[in-house]
Amino acid sequence: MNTPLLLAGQLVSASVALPVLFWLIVLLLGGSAAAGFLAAYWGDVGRRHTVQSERIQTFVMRSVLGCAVAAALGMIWAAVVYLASCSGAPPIVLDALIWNGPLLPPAMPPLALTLYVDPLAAFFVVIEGMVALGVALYSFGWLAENAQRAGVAAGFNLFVLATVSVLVVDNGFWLLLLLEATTLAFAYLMLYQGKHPSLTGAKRTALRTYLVVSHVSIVCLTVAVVLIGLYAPGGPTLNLRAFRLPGAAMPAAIADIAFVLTLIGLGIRAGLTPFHFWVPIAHPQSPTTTHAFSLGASIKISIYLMIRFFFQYLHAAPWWWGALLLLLGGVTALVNVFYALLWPDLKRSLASHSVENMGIITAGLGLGLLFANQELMAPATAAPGAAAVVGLALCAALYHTFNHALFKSLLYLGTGAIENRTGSVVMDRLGGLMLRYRWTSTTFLVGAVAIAGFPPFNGFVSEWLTIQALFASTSVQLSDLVGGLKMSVMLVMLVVTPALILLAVAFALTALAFVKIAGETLLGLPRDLSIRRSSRRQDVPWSMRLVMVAFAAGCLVLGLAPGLLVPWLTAAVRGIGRDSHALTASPWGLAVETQVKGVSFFAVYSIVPLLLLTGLVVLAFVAVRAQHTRARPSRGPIWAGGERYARASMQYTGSAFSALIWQPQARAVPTLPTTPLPSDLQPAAGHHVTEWFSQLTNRIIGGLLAVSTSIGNQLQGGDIRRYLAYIFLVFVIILLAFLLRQGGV
Amino acid sequence: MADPGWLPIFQVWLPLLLLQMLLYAALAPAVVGLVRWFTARLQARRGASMLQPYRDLAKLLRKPSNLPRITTWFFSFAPGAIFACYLVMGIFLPTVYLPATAQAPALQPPLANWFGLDLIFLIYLLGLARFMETLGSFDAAAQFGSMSGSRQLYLHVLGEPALLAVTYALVQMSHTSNIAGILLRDPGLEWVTALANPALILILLALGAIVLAESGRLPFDNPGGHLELTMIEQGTHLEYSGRVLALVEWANAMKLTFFLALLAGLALPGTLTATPALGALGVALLWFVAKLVVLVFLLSLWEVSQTKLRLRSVAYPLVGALVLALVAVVLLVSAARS
Repeated sequence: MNTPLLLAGQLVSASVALPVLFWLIVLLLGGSAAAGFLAAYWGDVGRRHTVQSERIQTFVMRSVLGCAVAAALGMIWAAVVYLASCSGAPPIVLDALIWNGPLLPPAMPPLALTLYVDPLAAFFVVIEGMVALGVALYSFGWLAENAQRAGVAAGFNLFVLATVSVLVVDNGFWLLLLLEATTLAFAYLMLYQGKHPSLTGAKRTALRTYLVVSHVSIVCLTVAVVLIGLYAPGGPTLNLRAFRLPGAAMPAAIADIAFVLTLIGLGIRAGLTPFHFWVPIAHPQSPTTTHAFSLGASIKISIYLMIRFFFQYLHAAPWWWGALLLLLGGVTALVNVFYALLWPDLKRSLASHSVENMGIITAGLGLGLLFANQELMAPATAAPGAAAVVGLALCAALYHTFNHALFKSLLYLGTGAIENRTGSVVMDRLGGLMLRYRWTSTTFLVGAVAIAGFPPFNGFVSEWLTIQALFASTSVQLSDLVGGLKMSVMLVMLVVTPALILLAVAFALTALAFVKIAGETLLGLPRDLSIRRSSRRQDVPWSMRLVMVAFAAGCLVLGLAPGLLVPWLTAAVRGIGRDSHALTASPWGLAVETQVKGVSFFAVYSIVPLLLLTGLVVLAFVAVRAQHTRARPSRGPIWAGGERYARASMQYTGSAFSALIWQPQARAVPTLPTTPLPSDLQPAAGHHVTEWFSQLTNRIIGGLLAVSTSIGNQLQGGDIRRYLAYIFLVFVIILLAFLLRQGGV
Repeated sequence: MADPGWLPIFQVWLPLLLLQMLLYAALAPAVVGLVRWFTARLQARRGASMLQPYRDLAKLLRKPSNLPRITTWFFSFAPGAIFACYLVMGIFLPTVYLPATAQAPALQPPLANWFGLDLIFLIYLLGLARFMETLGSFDAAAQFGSMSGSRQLYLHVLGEPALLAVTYALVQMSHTSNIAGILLRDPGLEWVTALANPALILILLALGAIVLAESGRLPFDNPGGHLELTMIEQGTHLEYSGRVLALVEWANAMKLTFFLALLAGLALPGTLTATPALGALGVALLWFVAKLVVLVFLLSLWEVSQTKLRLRSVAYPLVGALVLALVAVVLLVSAARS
């Protein structure tokens, strides 16, 4: 397929441009990663710590990061050019870039490495590239004095390469292989500071947990891909292009099995609720810079694959798939924002918040999936409205994906800056950081307001869109489905309303959690004087500030000009064959409009009140500041009920602040931690809150271990005759297989 | 922008909306004064004049501030932000005048509603004000501030789902979350039939409970209390003084006024006027003031007969409000189906 594409001002055949760019990026990232690993190994094995070797390490780190910057710029540029060509006023026919390149000998065409880029993939490439670019630039400062700088930079490049390739490959085999590569690259990053004696135990547990859950995930996905491939329209294949073709003849039961397996596989990677436990255990083990990429961007590939599988590869979506996904998203958001309140340190708490946001995105996808199957609608009346709601929900989910990448990366980079300056990320040992580190603290505060979903920042846009999609969905009438029950009433009462309430509580709790996080770390007075004494006086270097300011500015710009992203969103939604007309943008904001049975639902996101709000806030601040400079305000003690009061040590703590939420769930007697995963969280001294899902997982792990031990003891008896019998058995099986094959059975 | 439809917006609508905002901001202290005066009369006290809040504000605005010994810029930033949030909430709530374009049977989305206030935006503005207030209390590093901030957010966590459920019920009624659309679109909101609509009564009851919680009235919080240990609404103001305290107090008065105006608007939307003529505007203004006075009197009557709830028990009325709103949703959905 030779589709012309406007690249660099001239028409280049897409079938040339795409593989050239792909291999360039592979070469840049892969080659630099190899060089970095070599340098790290050389420094490690020889224990060379001379001035010369340190210089070499720094040089390698900088070159590796430079390659990452170049690759990220390249992929952002290409994806933006491509998206711009798809989102013109008359939709251009250019629907996808495809490359069917041979990599393996022609004897194995099913395993050929082929590439496929449509607007959805390009949108995710922009997200990954944006965060990779920010993290790479930031790492120049963050890694500068780090002992493992070359190795971390190399691992980061490999991780970025694996993540981005997952988005563009068009073959099931390569997809699974690259997902495994992502897992391994991140596992390498988790080894960071693994030789530090105080960390090894926790690190080993985290690494083992991560590898085990990733393998359960990949097993489920492999079975799902094989199942879908067996029933692909043009005969059994692993080529994802065939999966996308309409008219798959998959039996409903097989489709349901494939859906559940995919949901488990991708749910584990995204951390959806029964599987959320591993994210705050595993992710914080990686260095804080790459943590920003892993939880800000790389975790989004599970969202990408969910859209691909649920909306494109699995065609017949019964309504309960969407209902399950929607409620799962709501529960994930609520459970994880609750656990996020309990973690004592920034990295774990933010990790739980990432999973919460994955829940919000998944809820959007679930709402889309609920109405995705047109056959269930009464065709004459409800179908157009339903299609509009599907597109709206997808737009909301994609918008939140982008926004989350912006503000979550900002928060992780801020955490990295805090760790870099103070050496600690434990919230109740910090405090008063705003007094010293203005840039870091102010940008972190912007991120906190954005993630809490408040106007005028970007988090508000996507939360508003998600809620409006839920509102719009209730006017869609489904045909009578189950036992004569009116489906719309059932749907409203049983699915959409609980999801709305779950999300509302989660949104409000996020605000509380970020008042706790920002208040305890940034504001007030320093809580631990030893940390204060050992931390540095100056704010982080300019390269790090620049990246944080850029992300913060992005949060504000997308909040005040929400229409900027809409062309890309609608292109992505149209690209997977869904209707995107419900969402329109203008310089004044966004408008949502759906028509069902002559009843029109509409809502408007207007920037007029937002501009007014921003202007008034700035004006009020300037006025108060002017007053204070004209007449310096007197400074005095605070009011403590007339008592003597030591401010620094008697400040309200974050755990006291959130106690109204967690205390009803807390117990005074802890269980002893003998299990691999933490079965309790400790919000304050003497109080323990049960982590139900970790306890459940511990029990499952214990049971499986017992079973596998007993089986293993039976099989591996140590008797030589038994092993000879095994070998004989295998021979018999192979011979039988040959016999059956030659017999043509 | 060449669209001629924009002209009347800038000539008539915008000036009138700005006037409406000034009216709302100016009326706010009087509403608080009136609540206090009614309460005093009902308790057989003489009570201060209803103009007393104006005198207090004037006095505070003349005084320079006194800050805690060490604070960051955020401490003096927060009061302005809170004030801005509550002021913006008022601008887009039609209290007297609603332009004619919005009264057409089918609203014109691109034109009429870019200025309309979305109810979800309102919920998030409330949250933003809370966020700023509690963060400001953290910056003062004083215990009482954060203690009451924690309680404010607890109330907000309980109140936000209820408020969203109320919005959801209103969406079932009017198929929009735009407040102008809600006030004008549904014939069920005419003032004769308002009381005949059981769903609307449930919605108003639920909203009433949320209003009491969000504006810190009894039985959730005692606005006349002076014991720091029990404060919810007032505790975060303890470290402010002088001009910034005036901003915070004024903002709180605007919040109460806003909620009462919202209740009044939903209960009796028919009194808004669409014609920008002086006579009609005057009548609508009188109606608005009358509605406010009645609601203020009801509030005082309610407050003198109530005691404060224990902190843990505040969940019950708010979850009750949520359930009421959901019952309203059920009623409206089944009515739409039949």
